[in-house]
Amino acid sequence: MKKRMRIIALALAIIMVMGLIAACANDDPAPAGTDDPTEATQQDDIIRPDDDGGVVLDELDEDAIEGTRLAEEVHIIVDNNNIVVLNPHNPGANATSTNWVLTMIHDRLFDQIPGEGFVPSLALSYETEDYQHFIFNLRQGVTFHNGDPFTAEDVVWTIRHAQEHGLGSNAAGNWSPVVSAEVLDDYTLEIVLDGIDVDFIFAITRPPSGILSQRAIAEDPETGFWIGTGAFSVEEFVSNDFALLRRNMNYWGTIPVTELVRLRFVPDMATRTIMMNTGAAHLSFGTPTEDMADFQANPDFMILTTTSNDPQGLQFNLNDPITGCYYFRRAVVHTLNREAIAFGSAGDWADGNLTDGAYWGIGTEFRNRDIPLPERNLDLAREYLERSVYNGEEVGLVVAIATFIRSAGIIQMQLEEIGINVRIDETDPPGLSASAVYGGDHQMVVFFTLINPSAGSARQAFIPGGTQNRATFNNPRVTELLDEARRTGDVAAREAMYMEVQEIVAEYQAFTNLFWRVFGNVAVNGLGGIRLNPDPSAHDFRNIYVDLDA
Amino acid sequence: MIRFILKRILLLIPVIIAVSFIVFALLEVTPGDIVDRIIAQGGELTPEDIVRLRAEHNLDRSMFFRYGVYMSNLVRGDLGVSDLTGVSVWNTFMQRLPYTLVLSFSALIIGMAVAVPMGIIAARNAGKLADNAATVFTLVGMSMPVFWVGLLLIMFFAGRLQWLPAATAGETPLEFLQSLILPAICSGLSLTASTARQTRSSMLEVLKADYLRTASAKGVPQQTVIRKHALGNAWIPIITAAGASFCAQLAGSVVVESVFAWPGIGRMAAEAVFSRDATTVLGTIILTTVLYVLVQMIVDVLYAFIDPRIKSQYVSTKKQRRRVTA
Repeated sequence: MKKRMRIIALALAIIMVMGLIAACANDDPAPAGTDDPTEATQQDDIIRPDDDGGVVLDELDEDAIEGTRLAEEVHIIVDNNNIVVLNPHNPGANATSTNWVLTMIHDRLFDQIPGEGFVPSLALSYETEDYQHFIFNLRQGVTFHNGDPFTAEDVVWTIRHAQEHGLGSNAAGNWSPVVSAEVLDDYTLEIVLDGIDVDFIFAITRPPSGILSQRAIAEDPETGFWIGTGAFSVEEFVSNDFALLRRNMNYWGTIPVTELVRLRFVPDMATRTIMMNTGAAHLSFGTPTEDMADFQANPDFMILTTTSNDPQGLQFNLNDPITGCYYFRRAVVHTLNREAIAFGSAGDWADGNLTDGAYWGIGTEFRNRDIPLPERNLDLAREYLERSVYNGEEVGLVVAIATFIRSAGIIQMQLEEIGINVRIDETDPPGLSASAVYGGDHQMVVFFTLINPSAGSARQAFIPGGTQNRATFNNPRVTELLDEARRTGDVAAREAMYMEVQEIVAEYQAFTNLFWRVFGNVAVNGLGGIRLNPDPSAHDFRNIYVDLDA
Repeated sequence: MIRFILKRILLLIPVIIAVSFIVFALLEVTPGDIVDRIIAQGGELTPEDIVRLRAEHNLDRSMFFRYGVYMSNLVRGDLGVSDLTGVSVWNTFMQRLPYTLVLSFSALIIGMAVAVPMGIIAARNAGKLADNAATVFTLVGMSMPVFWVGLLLIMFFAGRLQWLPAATAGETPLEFLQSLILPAICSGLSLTASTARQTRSSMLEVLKADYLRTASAKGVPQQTVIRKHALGNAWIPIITAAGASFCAQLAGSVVVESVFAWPGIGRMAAEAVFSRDATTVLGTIILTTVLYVLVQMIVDVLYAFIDPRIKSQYVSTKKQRRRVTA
């Protein structure tokens, strides 16, 4: 019996070792002249973000289409923000990757392109004198995927439907300032807002603000929402699995060069990597950081990097007796070694090079770059801690996603240096919202704050009750400035207001930046025609193609 | 037999009540709800919107009130609509169910096809090399985590050899079959391991029986002894083990479905939990419970076909009396 057990144990050990070797083996030889894979990584080019934090791969020239062998179907892997519903007036459509599909199937009145501003789409122009009354001149000759003509009636119906049935959806939020929408003629529309709102045009360029077909939805309340005027129409959609889109040959704009685009949700990270390696997909989001070096070293692939617009940082609950103490917060921010946190959390996929202390989107308009970043100074930190109410208690730090769980561990160790005991409370994003938004029972949170390129979006972080305001920040002057900025058309005056907002927020240190997240997305060589934005919701794949001979 | 089946179906009622209440209570104590999920995903809501949204989902009412509303709808056969997407839970479940059923059946077929012969060979050669090899296989099969096996299979067959697709259910029948192979093997491995062990131990017990020795002594060919007399009497525990494994596949295939991006009900339930989509979670779990009970009932009915002694228990007393009189 003993002998038999020994044989079994030996056999098991051999199988496990072989399995481990197989799992760790890598056929790809390191490039000549180096034995060190990390060195190889450094040598290879990756496509870095431009000044706006995004990446643009040029569209295929009309002349080049003839002589290029293109993939008939382009396959994109999407990660955790899976596509659950294609009705933009449903809260389920707020997910990032759903926005990618919405951009492809529904046109908005205007597009917003970083560096180019507002570009006409279904509307050719707008006129306003006070940012409260708008006249939109619409494009003529546009048809929906079902062949129905697009008119001003469709815009009015879309606005009403979003307001009446879209509670919780971003579309409802975008159209919420509208108090009246009136058809002047088939292609002219008057919109009146509840007050002056200079951010309105930006809001309606967001993907969920696409124009829907009233008739299509009346005919089929489920698939009717898939009908738009966009460059692609929905060929097949399985919730939580994939969306297959076919190019719209009657599109009013540039007709896409790719026949079919499939966006598929693949939950497992390792599976995504293997799918890219086996040619089952052309572009993948959510590739594991540890696999990036292999892709960089492989000449068949390129890495497209974007820097997230959202500040990734530490937030203190101002209503808590300890974290509400100014000296305690000062002690914490002067203890943090941001570079170590950035590297420990995301390695090369975090940018720890913070140049200022503003808690603002990296590419958001009116960023105040003159605010000093709190420096690491342990003596100063101890001095602040002495003056604070802190008495050696455990302070809770809520975290929800892997990168931030690593950040929290490093913060815990760093704060221990000055004698602050941190307890890490792990949860998931809804759990974090529950405890840290209107639950208010948290003390500190490590998370990102969703801020888009429009300064007005910062309101959610700094006004009382804002869904991004995990610090329960409530400063009447800041609220007043944010309200005023929304009503101010004069750019210089708005800039001054937003600058002051950032100065006040920085003085309170209710929020502090830790690093900027860098997203590495893997694409096959030959892929082009895409626009990846620092605001991931605004990625645009309408002109995507894969040159099979590249 | 009909009475037995009816009894089992009636038993479903308290099971569903208990399961739904436990799941409801667990969701209640889990931090976060559907509104928190919308906020986490960047929903631009005003405090008034949040209040309205919570009222719309009855989140401003007590858990018991919501449970009562849910159950009263359930009694009318209404599983509700997803809190997140507004799509009917029943429709979504039925869209996903065929994928899980195909995967589970494939795993069952693979498992039985390998496990039963392996168990018989191991039992007939107890203590010898074949038995040891089978023991190693079953130990490995049971102890290796499913996600790891899945990834190894993908790396080897899809990555290295490029024989099969890495993941996702194919669209044409051929693609579908190709994409089914790896997840079915992965799911089938643990089922094979447990069923092979069960087959081996059942066979070992039966092989020692006097009637087998008698049959052999009477000159019945060894193949017939094994196939007809031994296996015939060893089926009950084997089917019990296979039935339990099949039920586990139905209810808990979330890992395999995630690794292979297979759009089944396991993934549906897991995604609903992460979304705090309570209606979908409850609906999925209740329907899975029904499936589970039905499969167990089919297993019980199968016993009757395999073992005449069990069949006789199902025959009504009247009929038994009539037989005795005759």
